[in-house]
Amino acid sequence: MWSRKATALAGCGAFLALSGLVLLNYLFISVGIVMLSFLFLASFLNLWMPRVTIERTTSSDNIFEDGELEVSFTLRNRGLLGGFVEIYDEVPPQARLARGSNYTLLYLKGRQEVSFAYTVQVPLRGHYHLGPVRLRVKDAFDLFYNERHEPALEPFSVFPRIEGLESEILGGKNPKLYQGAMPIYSIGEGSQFYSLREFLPGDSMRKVNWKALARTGRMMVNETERENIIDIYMLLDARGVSGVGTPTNNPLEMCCRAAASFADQLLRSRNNIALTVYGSRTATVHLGRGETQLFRILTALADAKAEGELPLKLVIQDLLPYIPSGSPIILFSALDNDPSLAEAFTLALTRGYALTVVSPSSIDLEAATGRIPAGPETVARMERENMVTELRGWGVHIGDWKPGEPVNMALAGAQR
Amino acid sequence: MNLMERLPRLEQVINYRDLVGEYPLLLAVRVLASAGLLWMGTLWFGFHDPQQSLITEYARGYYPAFDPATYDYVVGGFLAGFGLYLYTLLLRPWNRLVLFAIVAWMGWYFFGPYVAYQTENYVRYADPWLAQERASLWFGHATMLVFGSSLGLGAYGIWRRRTLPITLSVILAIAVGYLHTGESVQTLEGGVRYGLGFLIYIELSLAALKYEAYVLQFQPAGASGSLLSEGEVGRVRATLASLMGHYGVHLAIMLGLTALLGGIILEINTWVARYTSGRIAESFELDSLYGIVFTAMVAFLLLGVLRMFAGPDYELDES
Repeated sequence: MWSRKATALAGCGAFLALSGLVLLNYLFISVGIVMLSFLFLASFLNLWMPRVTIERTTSSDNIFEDGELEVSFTLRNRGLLGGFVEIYDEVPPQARLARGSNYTLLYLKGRQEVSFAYTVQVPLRGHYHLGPVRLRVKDAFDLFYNERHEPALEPFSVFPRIEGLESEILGGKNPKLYQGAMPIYSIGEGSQFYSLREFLPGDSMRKVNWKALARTGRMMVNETERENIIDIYMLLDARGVSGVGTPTNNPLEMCCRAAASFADQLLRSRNNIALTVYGSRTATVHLGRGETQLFRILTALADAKAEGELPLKLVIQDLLPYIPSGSPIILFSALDNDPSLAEAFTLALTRGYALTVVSPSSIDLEAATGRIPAGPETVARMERENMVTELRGWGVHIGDWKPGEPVNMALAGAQR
Repeated sequence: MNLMERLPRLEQVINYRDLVGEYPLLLAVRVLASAGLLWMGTLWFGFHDPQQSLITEYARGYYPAFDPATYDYVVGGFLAGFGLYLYTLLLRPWNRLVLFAIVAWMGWYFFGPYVAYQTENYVRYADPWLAQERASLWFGHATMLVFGSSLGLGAYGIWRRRTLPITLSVILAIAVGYLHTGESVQTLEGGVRYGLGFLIYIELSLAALKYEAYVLQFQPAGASGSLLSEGEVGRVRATLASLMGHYGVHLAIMLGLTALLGGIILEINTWVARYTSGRIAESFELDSLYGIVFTAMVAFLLLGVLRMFAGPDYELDES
């Protein structure tokens, strides 16, 4: 292909040569002819352009927010002769280059193999892809080039950041007691025998294994297998109103980080977790446990977009028939703009569900942007404080969470 | 606080890092491109004598003493462009201060004699004609800048790293050539040299821009330095050296071949005429400028045909 420079040079050369004829100006003619000669000779350089193959690999398929993804390229020149090669890999607009560059220009010798790498940081959760790669092989003077688009895209997901929680989130009122179900190989309160150990001061006499005492002559106590596995339902508010604030700091992002941190700790404790994201529709990750379940939940969280206005009452009405009695429900929501909140909470509380709410304060986010006048801001804060107090009065564990605070603060608020 | 501490540091007055740059190789290319520009200007305007220009004829209508010295505006134009670039490097408030000083000095230079003449009621020692004379002198200098504008824009484009001024400098050089009213020259020793002067200027200035753009990607917008560590700067420097080394070899070979081909095309008619006689040697097709252009067209046609059958026509393996 001709570059703009080649076109300009050809036009200029032809113009000078023909103008020289009109003006009878030998200088115009000689400059024009020399320019055209240069261009014609450069067109022959294409015969020796390298034949390049390109291969891209990434360090991981998934990263967490602000995590780093290393992208490596290997270029091979399968031709015998060298040439100039330009590579540009498209990265998502949200990504920041941490090291290296997604654009490079190099000279590839015959049969040479070259590697280079760059690292991107993505501050915002979501599903992204790298590519396509634009590869341009050109002559030294940028006159003629061959361009190729490698259509292969490299998808990757950015999961919400997980923060380590300092205390246990919650315990269910009704431990799950499926007979013979789900062994968890850890010591705790339960009915299934796990092992024997020597008596220690403070142990209950009811745990003493008298047969073992008779056999060995030493005080031994029974240890049981932990049985406090519970089914926990997490609800994430992804309605349009939850997108208020900046792209990286809004109620939805905060809720996603909290939900990811909660899910991580609950799954580490071998509980069953389900997640429902509601906004314009509901998306549900059904009950499950283990690392695979964490991956499913993180993927669902990465997918959440602030859109729609589905009321909480409808979601609760839909879910309650499937939630075992007494299971905790954790709601991640800024509690904004939903007139059905009171009915939804009444519905859950009257059926005996333990309700916990982690609620980022959208007023603080709005105030940080300086868009609310002082008067309405004060009124909105008072309304929110009243609502939080009222919900606590109903028996809802609510963590009023300010922007910039760690998730632990929300957890501490919910445990009050 | 002593006086030395109160004086502003150099980096607070001028962004000198932009002039020097982080990579000496790029500075060298810019210097070479500037030399190419001066060479091109000297050749081009040496041929198109400003004494025989429509601009000069027009200027003499207002200022009969106008006498543009042949090469003054080549250096003057270049220095004006380079000075403009240096001015853009000055930081606030120093750039405003320099601008104010220039305007004030020019005002005093032109209007000072008039003001003195008007304000001195009795002792009229000031000469109003001096102001007129100075204005005429400046008119001459300003008109000479029209000739030097091509060089000025070129210098500004090379150092400020802008493509548009470089393109405009080529266009203006051609325009000034167009306004030349001198007698047509039928023969010229070494016409290739003039073409090569143009090519070297265009190639080097655009190469400086291209490689500058390559290293600029490592520099945050608006900053004068990069965010790279010393090791990374070393790697970029090595890549630059490799790229520019290969570029230099390619350019030297291509300019040599171009000189050869251009020389053959421009001179072949003379050789044919020399070794033939009669109607062929005296023919219009060999003797005239039309003949040279005709020969060039035939040569390019042959090269085009050869190229059609020689290469793979820009195909790459799809992977």
